Amino acid sequence: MMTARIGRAVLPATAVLSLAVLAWLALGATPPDAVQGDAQRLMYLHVPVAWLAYLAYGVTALASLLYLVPRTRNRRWDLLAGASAEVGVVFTALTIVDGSLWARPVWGVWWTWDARLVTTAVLLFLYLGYLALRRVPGPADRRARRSAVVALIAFADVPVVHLSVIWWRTLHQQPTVLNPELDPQIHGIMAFTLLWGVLAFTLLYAVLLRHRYRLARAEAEQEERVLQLALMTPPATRPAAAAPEPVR
Amino acid sequence: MRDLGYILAGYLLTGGAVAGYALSVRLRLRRLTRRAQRGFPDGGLS
Repeated sequence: MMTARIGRAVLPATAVLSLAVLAWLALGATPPDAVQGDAQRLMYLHVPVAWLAYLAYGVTALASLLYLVPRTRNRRWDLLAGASAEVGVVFTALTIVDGSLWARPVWGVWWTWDARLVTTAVLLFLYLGYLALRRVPGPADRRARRSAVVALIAFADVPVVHLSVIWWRTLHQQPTVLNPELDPQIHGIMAFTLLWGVLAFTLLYAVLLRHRYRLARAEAEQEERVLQLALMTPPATRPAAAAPEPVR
Repeated sequence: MRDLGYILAGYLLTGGAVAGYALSVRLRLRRLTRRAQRGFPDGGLS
């Protein structure tokens, strides 16, 4: 009862409030960057949405793994994997869009064939393919198993995206905040705003995932009902399929 | 504020995309729930 109330009312309200505070912190309270100026304010969106995409795909991979292990196999893991992947795709697309808007004033281009950008775009297309695969008709168990395998393969791109700036020479900056070898000397309020952004977007992810998972369950239940109805209906009473047009 | 257009575009696009996605999920869920409560008169095929 209490958990349901938190999920239904408290979590969305907290997420919206956190995002409003983030907007105030990012656009008003933090100073402009010494080198990049105000354009750096896009970092407070770009970094959290990128983190969220990683998290969403991590949840998809974990849920897929749990589905593939016979001891923990449950349809709910498959539905959770699909729900999280869809949210992840939204955040990956936003990572690319926000990154592009940041790149234009700082790099002078909307897009460049940089290792970080390309591997992120590949990540987006991998999970778009995964979502398309989930819609391919077939028995629920077989569909869930092949989706789980593809989700685990697609997840291999996540560390490649993260480490691309270390493995290759890139225009995209290297990790700074969590890099122990660097002393980024980030301004206190800037570091706080970035951390706040990560927390606010994580709450948002939880809200979106909850709703998308409920939708996935409702869709699965509907699919099950349709199947039961089709099995219960005698063939003679089923509506006949439309006859194909004669080829001329 | 310099580069205001890029900053506003980033914040408005992100907010709009997230709100639009959340709304689409809610609407799809509501539609499905209502049809389930009506007992799928079309057999849930539409």
